[in-house]
Amino acid sequence: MSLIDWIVLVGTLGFIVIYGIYRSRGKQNMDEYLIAGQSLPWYHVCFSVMATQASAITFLSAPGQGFADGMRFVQFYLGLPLAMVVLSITFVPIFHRLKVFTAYEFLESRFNQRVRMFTVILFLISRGLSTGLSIYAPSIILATILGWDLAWTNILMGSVVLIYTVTGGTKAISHTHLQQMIIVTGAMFMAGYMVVHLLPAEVGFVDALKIAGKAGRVNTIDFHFDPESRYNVWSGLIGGFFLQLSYFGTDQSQVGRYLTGESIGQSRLGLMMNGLLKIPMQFLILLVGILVFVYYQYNPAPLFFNKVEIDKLKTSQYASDYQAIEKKHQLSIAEQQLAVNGLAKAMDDDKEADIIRWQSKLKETGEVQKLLKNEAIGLIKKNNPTADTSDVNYVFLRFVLDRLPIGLIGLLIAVIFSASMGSIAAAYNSLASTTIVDIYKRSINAHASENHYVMASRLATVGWGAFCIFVAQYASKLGSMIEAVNILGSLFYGVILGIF
Amino acid sequence: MKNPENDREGLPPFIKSWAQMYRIVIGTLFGLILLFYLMMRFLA
Repeated sequence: MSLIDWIVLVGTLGFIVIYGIYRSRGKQNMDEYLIAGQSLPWYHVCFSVMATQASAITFLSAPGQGFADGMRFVQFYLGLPLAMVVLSITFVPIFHRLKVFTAYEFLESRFNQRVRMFTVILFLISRGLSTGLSIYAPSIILATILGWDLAWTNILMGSVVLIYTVTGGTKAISHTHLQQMIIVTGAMFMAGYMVVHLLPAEVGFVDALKIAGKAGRVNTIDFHFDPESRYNVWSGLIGGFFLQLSYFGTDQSQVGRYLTGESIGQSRLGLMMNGLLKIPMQFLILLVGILVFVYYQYNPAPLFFNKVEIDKLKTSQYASDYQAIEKKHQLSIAEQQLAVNGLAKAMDDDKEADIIRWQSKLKETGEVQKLLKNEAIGLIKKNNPTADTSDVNYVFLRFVLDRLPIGLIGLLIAVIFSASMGSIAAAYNSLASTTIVDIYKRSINAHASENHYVMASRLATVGWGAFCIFVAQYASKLGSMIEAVNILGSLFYGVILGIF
Repeated sequence: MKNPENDREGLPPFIKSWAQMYRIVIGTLFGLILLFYLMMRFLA
């Protein structure tokens, strides 16, 4: 990264932190610290909910997924608007009328303290560990591709956000979420514009979409009811609905966001706007991915986007095997460029037979490149058994670093940090509020002053921040344990939703 | 905090009730599905 990129990166992150502290300055009571005094308008609720759900991986992996697999992932979110409607009718008025700080307080009034405590413990364990992973996942990608130290990247990713989360509480988080969403959306539009700008002069946006369509990447909708297929309309509408209902209705990291609304109406409207905006936003991110795909039809794509592993391979005992694969890859790229130019011309001339011929040639070269990539992955695994071989995570970042102009690189790295900060801040805040409200205030110290609870919440935020960074540092060694927690979480998530 | 019992509170001016708002959100969802499907058919 150049000096200008560093200035843009540090400036953007510094602005978010300072803005968060500035907007939440002044003395706060518990109500203000944990749910922003229920004073925020709908657009804060909406963007806060969206920023909490969109992690850094959303902006790293989703374009890569668009590149490799097309747009079918967008169907995963089809159940979200339906879940928003159900939540607005049921959970939002209940939580507001009971004047709760956390979702789990409701469980004690509905059932008993044991049910509340069981849910709280399950939430704290699963959210604490998954937040550690939310720090680790983008850190390992950034550290690998930028050559940064992983431990320090984890610390940076997990601690910058602590500054305003501890001092400003929920109000700071909501205000910074709004800034983060503006920066993230603006930068993704700029990235999309730049990809189209980098295409050959005769290829416009619509032409790029047509080529992506002919290559099978605009696979947005699949009506087939197939339990084997991960993404189709039915899995999105049915499975997605229950998943989003559970996440938004019973996970304090989301409940804490819409409890900040100044009224039932403002919270509802925030969720409704989330229901309207989330699918188009995800569509936009995947669209950038398929535009990157089109770019690499006209320009040579690397055999494997994680350059660090390829560099290791080049100096290993498998170097000659790799060179042989690379040679075949170059030949395939030459054929692919011939095919894509032929396809574009056939589409311009409207010659159906030629379109079909070049389309099938393009598909054929795509299959060859897939096989060559798998061969290369086999070598990478032999050379380094712990190597990260899921290449989709590296596609977008590699494209950004190799092809985008100075300044925009820094901005897009800032976007990855901002997205990460948004979801991590909400997680820290929800872990602290649950610890203090549902455990400390409920069972340990029920009659302390407001100042005492605010201070305890600040300490709990720092404590959970340290825990999550610690988990991130050891995430690669915690694989099976995290999997066990996720399995446990998914077993109980449905039950918890049922209890609610 | 505004009166939580006022059921119309928070609605945009051009929308008469929450039921209508919910219908708009669900209608937009199915509109998007149709749009995505037509786009896929057109581009493929």
